[in-house]
Amino acid sequence: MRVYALRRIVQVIPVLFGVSLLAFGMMVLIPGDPARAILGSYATPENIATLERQLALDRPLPVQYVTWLGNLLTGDFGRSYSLNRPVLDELTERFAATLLLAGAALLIMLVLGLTAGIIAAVKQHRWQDRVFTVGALVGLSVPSFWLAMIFIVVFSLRLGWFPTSGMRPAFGPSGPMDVLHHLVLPATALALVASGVIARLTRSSMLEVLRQDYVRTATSKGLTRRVVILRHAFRNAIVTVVPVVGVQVGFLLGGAVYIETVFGWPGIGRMLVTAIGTRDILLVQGGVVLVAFTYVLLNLAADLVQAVLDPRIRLQ
Amino acid sequence: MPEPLLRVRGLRTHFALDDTVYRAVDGVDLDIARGEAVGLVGESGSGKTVTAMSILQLIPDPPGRIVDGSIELDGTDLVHASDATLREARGGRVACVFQDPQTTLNPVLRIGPQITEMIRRHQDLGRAAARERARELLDAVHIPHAARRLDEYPHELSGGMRQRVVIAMALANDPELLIADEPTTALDVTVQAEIIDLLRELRERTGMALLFITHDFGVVAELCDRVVVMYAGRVVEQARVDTVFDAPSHPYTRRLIDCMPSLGQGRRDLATIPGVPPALDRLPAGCAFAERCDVVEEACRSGVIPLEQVAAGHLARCLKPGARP
Amino acid sequence: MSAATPPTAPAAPPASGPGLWRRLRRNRLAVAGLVVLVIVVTTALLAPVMPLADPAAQVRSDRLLPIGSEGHLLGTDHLGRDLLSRLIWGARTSLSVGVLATLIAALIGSLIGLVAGFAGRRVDSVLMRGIDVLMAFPYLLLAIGLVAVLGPGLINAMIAISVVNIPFFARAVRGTTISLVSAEYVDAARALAFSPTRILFREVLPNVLPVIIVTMSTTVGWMITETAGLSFLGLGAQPPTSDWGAMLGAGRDFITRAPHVMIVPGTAIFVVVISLNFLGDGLRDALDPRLK
Repeated sequence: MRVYALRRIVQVIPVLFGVSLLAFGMMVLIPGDPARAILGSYATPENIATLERQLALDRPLPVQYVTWLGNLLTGDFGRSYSLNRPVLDELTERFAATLLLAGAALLIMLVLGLTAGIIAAVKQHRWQDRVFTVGALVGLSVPSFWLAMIFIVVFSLRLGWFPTSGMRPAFGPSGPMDVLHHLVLPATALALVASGVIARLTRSSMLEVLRQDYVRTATSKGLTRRVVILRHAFRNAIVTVVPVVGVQVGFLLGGAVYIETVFGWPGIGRMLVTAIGTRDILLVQGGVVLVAFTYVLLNLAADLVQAVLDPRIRLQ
Repeated sequence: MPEPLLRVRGLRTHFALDDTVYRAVDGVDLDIARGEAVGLVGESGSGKTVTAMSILQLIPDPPGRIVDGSIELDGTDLVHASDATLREARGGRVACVFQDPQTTLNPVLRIGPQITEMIRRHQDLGRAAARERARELLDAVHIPHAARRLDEYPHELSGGMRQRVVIAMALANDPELLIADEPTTALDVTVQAEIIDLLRELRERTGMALLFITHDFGVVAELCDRVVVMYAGRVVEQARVDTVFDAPSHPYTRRLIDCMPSLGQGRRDLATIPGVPPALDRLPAGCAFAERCDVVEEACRSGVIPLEQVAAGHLARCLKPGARP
Repeated sequence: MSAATPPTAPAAPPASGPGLWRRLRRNRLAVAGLVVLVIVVTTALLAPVMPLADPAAQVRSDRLLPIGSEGHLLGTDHLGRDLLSRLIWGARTSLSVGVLATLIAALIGSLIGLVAGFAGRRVDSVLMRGIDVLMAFPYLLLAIGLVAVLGPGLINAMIAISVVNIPFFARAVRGTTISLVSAEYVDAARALAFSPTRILFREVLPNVLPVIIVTMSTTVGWMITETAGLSFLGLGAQPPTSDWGAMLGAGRDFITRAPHVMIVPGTAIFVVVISLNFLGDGLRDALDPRLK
């Protein structure tokens, strides 16, 4: 296992390198004078000159890249001109909110998707299968930004069950229950599409596994159906689902942009859209790098979890 | 005659696929006495495996379904039994060993838990006691370093070792009947012989009854007391092993024995009988073997040919029992 | 094969021609999806000849009229524009942009996949590392980053969505190509000293086509949704151009007073996407019954 983990970690390094190169490329490719683009139209010539020196903009591209990467690795993401504060500070605050939202959505996705997938597979050809299969397809066809608004109209405006927007600090005066209250609608809206994907995959993976001889062996031991399905069948089916859960995290992190916009959630997605509007390049770049790196590392984690679940994978 | 341990009467197990019904097992009677070893023989598709898997209802449903008949274990009907009763029988009084040890063990669980979960399902044992029992079982099937094997995964063991694990697992609750579905087919020749020896040894030691499914008459001769031959979902002949070898009554049995590999020559396909069995969704009238029979005559192709006694304890489904070309 | 399956299972009929259509027709959801799509596309195509209000005509007195108002079947938006007319005209934009994005992604992605799978070795490994990097970005985030570089606009949004979908085609096509390259008839073509280009396009491409079609049918719904999403965020269609996403974005500001302004275009996206997915599923099952 240790060898496998080490090898996977080493394999991730070139991908992270590629990600950083692409993110760096964004700045280079932006039309016009980068320093001016970064600092905005009210920048003084002195400001621009300072920044150009700082980012090595007067030097060849490879030097610029290395300087940029070095700054990044030491936690220097630059300064956001539109917010007039260090990019890193803004990112940490915003990212925490996004992680809370995406984490809650991940939880909902797993519960909904896995349950629906298992039931549909176990009840293949019966009405439950039909309901969950069609339900999963409906789920993954709904535009999440529209669903979010429908949620607001129905559950906030008509029924008054949940607040329409906002988020308060978890450890503030209003307490964690208030955060939960604000979290339910956006997290559910975000999770639904991914739940459909997971449900479909879980179903097909379970159907495949339920045909296997070892499931028959388990039944022949006198185990209850519940134990056969969960301990023997599902325990195998989940092995193919885990890496896709990793991929779905990417959809959750990306889809968070919509949900944060609709619900006024102070996350990194909404920040990015605003920053594109104000052309605050350093903020966009920092946000993209941070989210992409997180995503790559979460996928690595998913691969490692998969190897823990299935000993045969470690041998490959 | 004493009450048999297992009594199957008129068993019909059909498979429904795309509006077509395949009569995989179509009216099978089968008795197994306590401690008796019965060989169930036939080509692939003859219904022998489906018959055996019907006993504990291990047929995938859908598409498979027991549509008629009774299966009594010690007087208790299993076909209409509650799930709870069925689960008591499964792995308790009746245990199974399957064909391919590469696929019958759960690949993501260690050997130990796979055995202990079966022990603890049927016996009131603690974790440690069950583990100790599992180690004893592995010892009993001659697996070296048994304690260490408990913490290994199936893929770390050879095919023969895995089959020994499956057998050890089957013995966990001292079953009265062991159903072994071609347990050696997927193994190397030398390993095959070892597994057969092991089964014979275990049977002598425990006195359990055995239902041994195979297409290899040679193995039957080594291991079984009685043999039941199936063709196209029906029993075509049953008798004591020595009787069948001396005087097979059904032409199909005779042909099967003729193409038996001599010992040490290993596994051989039975394709040496020309022709193929009839499709199970449209069985012909009369004898299902007529198309391939070397002593067939006009009368064989109509009506229903009954399974009739040709001698004491010797039944055959043939109009001309014992005929030779 | 599991031991307890019946021995004479019928062989699957070949997956093409009338058999394909017959199997597809048996799937009621797929047929429903097809019917809905035909209606939507026909309506969008006929927009210029239909008796519709001018989609850009603003009538200040008729602002935010509800669904079912006289003269405005689906009501009006915040500028008093007829929603039915805007929906039908918007369909032309949304559908063509989504389909175009799919075609671009399919073309470039398949080409990358073909070349990588066919050339193998270093070319393969370089191309696939590139694909890995594209996939290392969360789907929508990369699209947003690209729009940040290219600048907001419908065409740029479409390009961004195409780019993020390239990996799906590249991976699927590469996998199939690799399995084909080792096939006998390709060996035969090589033995006849046909040029690699000829082998690639004459022998390999036709056999990869079903994979491309299935991938297109499963991704086109996404691409329509995501281009609409970028417009919704204000990164896609800019006024006066208006697709369904932009209509949704505009409707968001009136969610309290007149929710129908956002319900109408959202429903349209949902109905089209789910029809595409039903049809895509049916198509995949009909092409390969084993996947069901």
